[in-house]
Amino acid sequence: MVSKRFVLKRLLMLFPVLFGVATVVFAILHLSPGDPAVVIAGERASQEFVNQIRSDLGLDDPLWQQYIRFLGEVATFDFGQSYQVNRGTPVSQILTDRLPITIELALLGQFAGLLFGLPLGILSAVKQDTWTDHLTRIGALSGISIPIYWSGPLLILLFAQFLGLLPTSGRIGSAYFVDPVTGFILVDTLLAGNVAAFRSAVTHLFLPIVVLGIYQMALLSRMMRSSMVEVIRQDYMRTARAKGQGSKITVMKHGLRNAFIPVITVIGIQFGSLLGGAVLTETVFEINGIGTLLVDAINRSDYPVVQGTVLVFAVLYTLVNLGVDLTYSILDPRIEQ
Amino acid sequence: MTERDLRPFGRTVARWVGVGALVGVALAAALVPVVGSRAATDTAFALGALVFGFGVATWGGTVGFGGSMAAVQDHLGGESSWTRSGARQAFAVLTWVGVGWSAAAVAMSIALVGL
Repeated sequence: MVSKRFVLKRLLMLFPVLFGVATVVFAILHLSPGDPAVVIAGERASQEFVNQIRSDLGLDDPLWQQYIRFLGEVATFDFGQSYQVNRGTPVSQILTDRLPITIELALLGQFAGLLFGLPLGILSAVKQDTWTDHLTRIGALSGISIPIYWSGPLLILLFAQFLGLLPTSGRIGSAYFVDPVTGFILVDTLLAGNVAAFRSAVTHLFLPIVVLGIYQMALLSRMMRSSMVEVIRQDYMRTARAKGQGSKITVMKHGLRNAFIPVITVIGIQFGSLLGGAVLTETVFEINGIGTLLVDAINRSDYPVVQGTVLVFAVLYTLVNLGVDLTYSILDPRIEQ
Repeated sequence: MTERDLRPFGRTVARWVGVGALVGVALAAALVPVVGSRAATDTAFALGALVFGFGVATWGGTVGFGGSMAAVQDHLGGESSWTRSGARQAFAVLTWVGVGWSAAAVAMSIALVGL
């Protein structure tokens, strides 16, 4: 059982981490080229108009004053209003609308990766140096080596253009409209009891999930294999087999728990790349999640949206790693010590 | 922390804040003739904030999660020169340098540009 002190200490440490991330994001945005006032006013606008916008947005104050104001806003979860992407809309509202889309994609990608990656890794370790092992390792190596911006368009070409089996973009067919309740399209279509819309959502999300899941699956199967190979060689595994326990039970009962620790570490660390992958996947499949929002906001120098989005990414990432940290201590209580 | 422990700690903090302040002042002073006082102090502040933010975030991560990282490393039998206390000290140094750097940039901004 995880102690309250252990959890509390980690929760408290989230504050300096997020404060640091907020500061880094603020600094990078103000060091990067591009003036939001010029973007808003347009390149042909007069200097007076640009100055007026700069003054209205508070961008003519010294940077340290803008920083103090920014920290005050972040502390109250008020990221201000969008300059450009959805002009005038509160950033928190934009994030609330878009976040479930990306979380749904990332969770399903992770689920697909776990569903196929872990069994393949275990199988590969148990059947070490056989054809099954070689094929799994080649598949995993290919999965790691293929970038999303290449596999995405290729799968679109194959399944949408040539075979005509799956749609190319979006989350649901244009013929369907489902009231957003949770923001997760699969859940919302089920809640609405609209089976046709659910089927449409599944076919739309299939390729993006495959693209995200391939990399996760490849990485997890490699990690699971190497970890399980180590565990299989341990004395306690040999002892269990010597006592007459079947090899399947030995692996599942004694091996899996210990082999999971490094895999859990990778899952936590990879969540960041999963979010990064969601940015690319959303761009390739034209899904209006937080990834496309971030790219759009960066291109248009929309400071409040970029700051809000990156902070939300940071919160998600730290919370996932908090979960990973707690899982360690459940799998092996010595880690908490 | 006893008073005996606090003195060297205070000296270390003062030293790194001082180093940061020197960097901040030097950078802002070097940039003034090139980009003007407003842009120079803003750039110096942003760079200082970058160092400070990176230091705080990584320090917090090390204090919060470094213990588990070290335990997992031990569990896996891996050997590297990474230690929790070493990482914590390194990121604390970055944080204090960032504090001094940003504070110096703010002081330069007030002196050259005004409030």
